[in-house]
Amino acid sequence: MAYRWHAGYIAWLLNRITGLAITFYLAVHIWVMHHLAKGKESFDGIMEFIQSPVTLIFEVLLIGAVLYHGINGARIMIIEFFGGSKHQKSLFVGTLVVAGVLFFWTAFAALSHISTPH
Amino acid sequence: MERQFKVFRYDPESSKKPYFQTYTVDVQKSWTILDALNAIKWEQDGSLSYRRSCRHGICGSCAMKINGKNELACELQVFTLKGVIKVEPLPGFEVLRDLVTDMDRFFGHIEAVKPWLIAGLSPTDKERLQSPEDRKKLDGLYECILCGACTSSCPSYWSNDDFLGPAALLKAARYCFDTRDEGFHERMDVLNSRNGLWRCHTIFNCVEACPKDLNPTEAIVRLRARLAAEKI
Repeated sequence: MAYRWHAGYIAWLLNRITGLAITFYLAVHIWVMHHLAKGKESFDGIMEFIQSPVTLIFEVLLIGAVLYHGINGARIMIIEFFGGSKHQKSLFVGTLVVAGVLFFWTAFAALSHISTPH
Repeated sequence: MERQFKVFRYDPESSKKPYFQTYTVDVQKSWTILDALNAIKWEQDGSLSYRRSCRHGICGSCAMKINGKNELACELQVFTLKGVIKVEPLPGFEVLRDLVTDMDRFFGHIEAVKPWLIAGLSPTDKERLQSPEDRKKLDGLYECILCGACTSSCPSYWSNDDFLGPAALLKAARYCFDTRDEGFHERMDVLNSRNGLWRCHTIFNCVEACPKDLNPTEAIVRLRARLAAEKI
């Protein structure tokens, strides 16, 4: 069931999606790190896979998910503790702008780092 | 001017599944959606069921989903809408017939928050006076007409209809923030329960849906802050 698309609903939906994505990442991260216990060769093998361009795209998307989820958390705190509910639409726009700027900045840094390997 | 209305139909006594029926109505410029529904019922199809009462946006009986938004049929004018007008019952509530939904659970939740002044152990023979400043604190809380538009738009309510919902919580705030009321602790158990204040995820559908432009989310976060302060 859905009602109407509006700022508050989209903000909540994105918060859920990014929250699930971050939880999924945590499970993957633990799975990757458990290769440490299996010895050097095993860990090097998984690291080689992780440094592939495909994984990098997912890492960049992870940055976006963490940034949105974190900054939207601040938006919710403003709504909860500082009377922000009357300005929730502007707060959502602010969340997208701040998360967007930080995302493109960090994504650019991450991608340029990989395109000019040391 | 002729307009088309696509109206949700459901008869529990028939084996037919719910469906939409299209009616063409010759509307006048000043007509509301309720006027059009009345024209359908009185002149075309007497079997169409819907609630109506005051016709002035006060009783809350005619809340329904019109072109995807919860509205009062008696307040929304036909000329403000374009194309075929889709009329459905309020979402999230059980449909009894056509546009009539079961409101028992909704009013049960309202009753659960004790929506009356609890003046404690200080009886008086006179009126309980309130300063204009204290009265002003209730603006945005007392105007609710209990139409159910907010609760029926709430995803938290859709997933769990034991949740009190925005209307009941707004009503609780109306009394909890009344300077003459001494019933906050009496209401605290129900407000602090698993189906109380904490189930709101600040999605703001209720604010979008309210035909009286009230802000139940603001009332909920203020109640949560007060509850947290009391617990600390």
